[in-house]
Amino acid sequence: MTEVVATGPVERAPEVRTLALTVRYYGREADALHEIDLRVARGELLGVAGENGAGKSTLALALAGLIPRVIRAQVSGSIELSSPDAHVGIVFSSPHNQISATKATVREELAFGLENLGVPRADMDARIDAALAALRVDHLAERFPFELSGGEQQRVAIASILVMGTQVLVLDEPTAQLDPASTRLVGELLRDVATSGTAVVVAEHAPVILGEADRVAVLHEGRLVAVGGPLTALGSATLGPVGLEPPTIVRLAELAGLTGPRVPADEELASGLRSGLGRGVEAMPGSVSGASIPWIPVRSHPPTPVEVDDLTHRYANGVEALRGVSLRIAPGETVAIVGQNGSGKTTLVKHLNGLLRPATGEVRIDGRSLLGRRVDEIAGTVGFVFQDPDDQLFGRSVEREVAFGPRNLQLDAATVERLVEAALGATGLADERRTNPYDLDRSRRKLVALASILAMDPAVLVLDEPTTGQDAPGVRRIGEIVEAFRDAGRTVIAITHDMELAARHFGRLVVMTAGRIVADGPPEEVFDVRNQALLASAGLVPPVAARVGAALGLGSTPTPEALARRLAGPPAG
Amino acid sequence: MTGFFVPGSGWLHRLHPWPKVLLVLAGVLAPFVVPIVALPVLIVAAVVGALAAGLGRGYLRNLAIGTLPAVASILIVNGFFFPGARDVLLALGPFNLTREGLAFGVPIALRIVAAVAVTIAFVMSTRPDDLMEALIDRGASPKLAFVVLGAIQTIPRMQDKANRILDAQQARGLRTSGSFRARARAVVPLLGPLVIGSLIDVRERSLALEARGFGTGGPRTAYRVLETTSADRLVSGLGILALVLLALYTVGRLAGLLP
Repeated sequence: MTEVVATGPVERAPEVRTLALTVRYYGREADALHEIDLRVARGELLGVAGENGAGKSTLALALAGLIPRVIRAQVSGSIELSSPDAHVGIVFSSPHNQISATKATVREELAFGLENLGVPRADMDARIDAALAALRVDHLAERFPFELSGGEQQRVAIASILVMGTQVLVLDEPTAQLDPASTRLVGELLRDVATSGTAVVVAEHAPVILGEADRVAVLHEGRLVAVGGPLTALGSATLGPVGLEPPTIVRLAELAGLTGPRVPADEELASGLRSGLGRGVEAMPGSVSGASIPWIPVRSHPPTPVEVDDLTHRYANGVEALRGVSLRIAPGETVAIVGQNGSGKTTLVKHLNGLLRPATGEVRIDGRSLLGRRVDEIAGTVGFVFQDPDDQLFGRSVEREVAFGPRNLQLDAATVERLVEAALGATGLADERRTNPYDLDRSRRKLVALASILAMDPAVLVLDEPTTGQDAPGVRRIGEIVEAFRDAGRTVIAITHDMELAARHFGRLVVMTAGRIVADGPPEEVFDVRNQALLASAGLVPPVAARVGAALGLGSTPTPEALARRLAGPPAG
Repeated sequence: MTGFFVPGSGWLHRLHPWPKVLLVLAGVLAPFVVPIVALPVLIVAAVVGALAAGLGRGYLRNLAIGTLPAVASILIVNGFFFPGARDVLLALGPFNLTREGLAFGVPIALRIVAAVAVTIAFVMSTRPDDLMEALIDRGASPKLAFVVLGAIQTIPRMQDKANRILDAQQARGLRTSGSFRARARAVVPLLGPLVIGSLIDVRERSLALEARGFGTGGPRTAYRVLETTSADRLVSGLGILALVLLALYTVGRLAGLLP
């Protein structure tokens, strides 16, 4: 282990420290965590980064005392708290599973932890009010917890832990299931919670969260490979040797020659890049893909345009989710549908395979109206991957799960086998073919769900939030699949919150607000600086490369590659 | 609030959960003890009581949904297919509605309606969390109370999940309508994710509960303070009296002293 830089308030006495902490689950041959030495002080926000399976969750569970008390494992080394009765609280990634399901209001939900601790009734309200205010959920105090949005529930979940008088707050991927706006807010709030005197440890992928940290610890295969300021710990000098890739914002900061510990603001990045204009552009790690596996079509489809005509949809509760949407998607297009939660994205794509029926308007696939066609018939043409893999997985093995779809299409055994092989290869699951899907972590289960639709070799592939909870390699793989499918002449339509994914791997962006399409074009056009106000009103933040390009007056540069080209060449008029 | 609870301020809502537990216990047992002639009286009493508590049309709707399928199938199966029945009341093609069949089926149906009528009035007027506190207060294990309550509260979420699973499997080409064979083949793909998903939820939820200090086992306190009024004491008394009378009546019948 190399302690790269010791910055920030580490001189203070640690609230919690681990000494050679080693955890091995029963029946495993490798340590989930190996000799981890970490310390976190009061007022400090420590980020924990690393790929899925690197040991982040194990560290979080061990810090919170749930390993080995609740989850059995062999543990050696030690975890020391500043005082024996210090309270360590933990927050998980699934918002709704943290709601106690027994309380009628958010206020009573917060009281639940206090009841269990035996806190006198007279002391409860003051503590609850303070915690509600700290997480900015005071306005939700009298609401029913299950009715809140995921982002609101997650803030309530954090407040429900803080209210217990937590000295050390541990969070295990708290934003994995949240939208970008909620993710940013959680990042800011965690910063505040730390500043007001709590030691905070957050295991995360999201750069906006890690960027708020005083220090970031990077785990790789159970070992601590770096601890330092976010920019240092997530930089190519530390991540490169272990085969990890820095987040785009860190790559840009390195290119701009910024070496401070903190993640820079856009303006800082822009001025750094301006002063070194054109220099080191070759160093910009450009096309990280390239190792992409091509998709060899097995089934033949006629050209399959997707046509949506003046679609409206109203849910039974009266919500008008679509208000006149028209869209033409040609065969071979890749379309990312972006917009805030509740803008109608999912409602729109659920019309593309007949899961929802329009109130007015019409959807045509391969020139034929979907009216009166059954969902299971359309499934051979339009493949639909749902957001939650656990809504579909039931097979005893990954292989059987992936074969389920093509078998439903009544394909012969040899064709099914070829399709299963192709889908497992594309998703990198070939080695897991005999594994029970539920023995894989959630991010890999998501890939199994994707493989199970790829194996149907549809003419049109629809993805609902394919990259949530994925680490950088997982996101890259999904991007490669999108491109491989396109290259095979298939159409890909994806709902995504990930603007970098949209800009890098999709040819066309459709922006939705309040049930309408408000922008539609290639990423360079949609992320153009002239659309700033429009994007802001749609609740979208352009990718960092686009923001920096705009700040530099370089025109539209939605990807780091585009930015690098513009930096190298003459600035666009 | 989920479950079947409907906010309100009628006489049932104002009662402490415990007297209602006693009352509903008596109300559910009574139909299976009292003579058949008393069953309509019980049903009318339950419905009038519920309507007087302001549970309104929602109560009648729940009662219909909760009883019609069972009542219909009991009456049809027994009415038409009662073994050895001879006294035909009505001939519908090859099927005969028999007196013996109805004589057997109607009391069963009435018992079910009576028990369900009481139960629905209870669940619609009692906050699940108050019920939990009341039970814990009387010595129930907090863990057990919690598991039961959590299960009730997550029913609507299970329904949402079931709908999402149906969508997801249809989108993989699963046929869920048509022949019996097609439907039978759909059972595992539809139920599998529901069951496994529930297990995953249980695991995640139990960790989250640990994190909220639920397993500490120390003395608990309560945020919501439930007052006990004289009406509560009266109803508790009535409930206990009813349970005692039911017990005496049963003993009397078993001893051959009562009809």
